Amino acid sequence: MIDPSELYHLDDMVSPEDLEVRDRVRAFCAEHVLPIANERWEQARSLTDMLPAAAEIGIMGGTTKGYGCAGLSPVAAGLVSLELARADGSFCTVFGVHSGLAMGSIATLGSDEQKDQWLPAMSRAEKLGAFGLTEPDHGSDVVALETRATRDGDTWVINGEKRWIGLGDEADIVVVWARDDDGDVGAFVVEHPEGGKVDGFSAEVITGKIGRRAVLQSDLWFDGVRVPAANRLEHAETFKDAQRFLGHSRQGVAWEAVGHAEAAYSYALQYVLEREQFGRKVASFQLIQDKLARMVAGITSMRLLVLRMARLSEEGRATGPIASLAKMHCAATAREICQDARDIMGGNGLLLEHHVGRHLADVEVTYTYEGTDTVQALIVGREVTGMQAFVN
Amino acid sequence: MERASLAKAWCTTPMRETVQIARGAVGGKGHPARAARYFADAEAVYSYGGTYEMSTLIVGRAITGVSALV
Repeated sequence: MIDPSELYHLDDMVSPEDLEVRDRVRAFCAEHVLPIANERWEQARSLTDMLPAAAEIGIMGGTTKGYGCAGLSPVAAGLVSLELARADGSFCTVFGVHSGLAMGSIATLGSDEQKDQWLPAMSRAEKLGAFGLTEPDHGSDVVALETRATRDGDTWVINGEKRWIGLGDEADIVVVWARDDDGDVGAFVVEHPEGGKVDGFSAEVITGKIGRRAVLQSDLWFDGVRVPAANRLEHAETFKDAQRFLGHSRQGVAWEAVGHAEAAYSYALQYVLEREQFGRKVASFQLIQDKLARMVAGITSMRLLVLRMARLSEEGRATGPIASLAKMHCAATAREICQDARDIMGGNGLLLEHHVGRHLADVEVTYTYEGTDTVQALIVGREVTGMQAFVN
Repeated sequence: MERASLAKAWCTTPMRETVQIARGAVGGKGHPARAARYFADAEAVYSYGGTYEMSTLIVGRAITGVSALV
């Protein structure tokens, strides 16, 4: 039973249309991503060159309707994240940054004109997008962001620094979050000219990452970068708008955690069914079966949780705390499952060629980005107690 | 059988942790006796109806096709 969703017949809970999207992504990953994933990971080489092929299978833009976007159901969009992570965490993030964060923020917070201006080319991956929110001194407390946007006639002048920006040095379009003259937080679209960068912009790729090595994240500097006044996303007026949007993207991270867990479980199970020690299949040892049973139980519970979250999303009832709980639970559970899978495979689990080590390293990123485990717990804690415990 | 075993093992493990945390959180105030009762009773739930170990071995047999019960 290599597929962990088989035991509880979980596919029965998903529509044939959504399963077809899942199968399309799985086939795409088998052809384009898996064959190069380990090499790119080891060499820390970007997988953005796979985005045009991903655009051809009709998944770009996720749940956004129109403007060339896929218009997927929340369940299908979740399954896309799951399948991409199941193949490779780095490509999952490459796709997530471009399609989810950059396109998603324009789709959610932009005017019709702004969506028309940027989304069609992005949906074809002709223009790549990045999303600049995190700063060197503001990660979990990004609400205190310091980047400034000052109005000067028909332009906004942006000054500040951003950190950990996926695709930051490769993207044609960067959605930058900054505080305006009134102290309000807004999102400003910095669009680079063909074949170059706008004046005042510089980027440096962060090296030495231990996870998701094939998505390049950068430090970005904005030194008097000018963008047209019309490039401020119309519906991004306060930090609450950023939070509203991040609650949505956080759902995708919960799904991708499940993908890592399913991959790790499947590799480990396949391994113990073939590997023999002490004259017996490793699968026949009680302590191994205990681990496998707990892994498949974790995966089943995560699957049910994210599916319920997607159904609530369909009904417009998926709140921030709902996304936080799913992200917290799935990332933590997936982390344990990847650890157990790596352990089950012994020394072979340490080798990239067996894939599970890559998932173990990559799931660390899942555990931390889009809100750390601690921050998610505090969001859920505030929801269930009615009291915030972020600061004293 | 394996589906029930999986649900039993998976639900009783966090149950055990949850009642333990709740017992600790209540400390000596509020309704310590009630929290302590749940804490103690949970141990029975963890073992009866098939121990945790038996449950995981039943699931393990289903997913590997290999019995490790004996």
